[in-house]
Amino acid sequence: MNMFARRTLDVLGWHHHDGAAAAHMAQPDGREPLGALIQVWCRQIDAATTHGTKSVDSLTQVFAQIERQLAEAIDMTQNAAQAMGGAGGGMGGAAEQARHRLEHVIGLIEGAVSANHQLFDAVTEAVQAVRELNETAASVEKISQMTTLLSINARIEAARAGEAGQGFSVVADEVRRLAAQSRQESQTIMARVARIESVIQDTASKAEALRKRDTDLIEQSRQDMVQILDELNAPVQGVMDAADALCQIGQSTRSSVSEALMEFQFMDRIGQRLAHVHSSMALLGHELHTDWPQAHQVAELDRQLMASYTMQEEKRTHRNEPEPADDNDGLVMF
Amino acid sequence: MAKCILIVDDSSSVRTVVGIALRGAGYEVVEAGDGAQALQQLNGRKVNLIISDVNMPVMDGLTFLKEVKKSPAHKFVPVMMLTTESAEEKMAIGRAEGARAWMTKPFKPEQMLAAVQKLVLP
Repeated sequence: MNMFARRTLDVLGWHHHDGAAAAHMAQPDGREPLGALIQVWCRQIDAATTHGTKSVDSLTQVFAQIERQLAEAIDMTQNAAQAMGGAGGGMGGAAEQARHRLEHVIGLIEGAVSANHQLFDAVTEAVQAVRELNETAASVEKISQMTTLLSINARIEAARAGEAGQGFSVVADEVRRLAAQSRQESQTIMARVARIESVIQDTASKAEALRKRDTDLIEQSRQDMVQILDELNAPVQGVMDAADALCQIGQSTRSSVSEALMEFQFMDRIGQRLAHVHSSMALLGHELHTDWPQAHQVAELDRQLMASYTMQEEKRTHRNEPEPADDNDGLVMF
Repeated sequence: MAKCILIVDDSSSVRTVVGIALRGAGYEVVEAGDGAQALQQLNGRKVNLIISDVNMPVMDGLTFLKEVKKSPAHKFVPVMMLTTESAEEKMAIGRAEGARAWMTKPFKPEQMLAAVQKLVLP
């Protein structure tokens, strides 16, 4: 019985005997049950590896699905927030559009009011023109009164002149008749102008009332617009803040999920390590099938196991060396 | 149009995590479970980079690398080996067969993406 067999049976808690004594034993030694036990170990390793790989593959798929769904959710949220908020943030894009539209409507109303104001100004000018016309008519009446007085004086003077003034008296009478006619016409004009002035004044009053109403309407519209936008802006801003927070949390969660996914690489390495141990154990089982392995055969098993390793960490474990802080050997570019 | 990268690895979880890192960086990803499947995937498809494991069943990564370099359609496609294998002699074989980089697992996504950006064909 070699050293390896002794150590193995020690580990298993079985009694062992020297080769000479063992040769005389009637009962078969522990090779056969140990070989069977090794097969059990191999099956257990196989099953554990298979189950572990299957579970990790499923977990990886689930995490990958979560990662994809998070990415989609983040995209949708960002798109919705962008549509609502625009690129610049602050007031939402929809609210901003509403504000522009409302301002446009207010602008249209202001344009219409401005046209009304021009009409009012025209009416005011007409009132002024009528007043001037009235003043002119009053002047004409005054002149006709003075002309009448003048014609009376002329007639008196013509009477004093006697026969020589008779012609002049005729002219004075004619002038007085014309002055009377002029006065009558100017009074007619003044009466008509007064009527026109009354109508225009009435129109001007109505225009003024309209202007005041339009001004009030615009002011009220502005106040309503501000209020609507304020009411709209608060929930929109709240939704946008929530969307921002959601995106940040989503990104953070996505990043965590991605990092967690990277950790699933461990199963690939564990699978390989177990496969190497499994192969070595199977070789030992094969040796035990014929006889207890000799020292050189155990050394060969040890060499083959070392040669089968692909990872530095396996070799370090085999040599019972400590793991370095960062075991990532990294990248070699050719 | 997104650049296409072929990932060859017998571990589904490794293909998934590599795929997530690459898709997140905007690459299109095609997967194969071993070298033979990978050759089928390459049939009639243009890829800009191949990332392959070394130790795989059916056809290992170094044999697959040789086959790729024999293919007139794909011999200029850069190949990066992504493996737990860290033996110098295997690395030397990979280099001799035309691999452009050798990255040992577990990989760090940012390191892998930096290498991919350097290697990927335009």
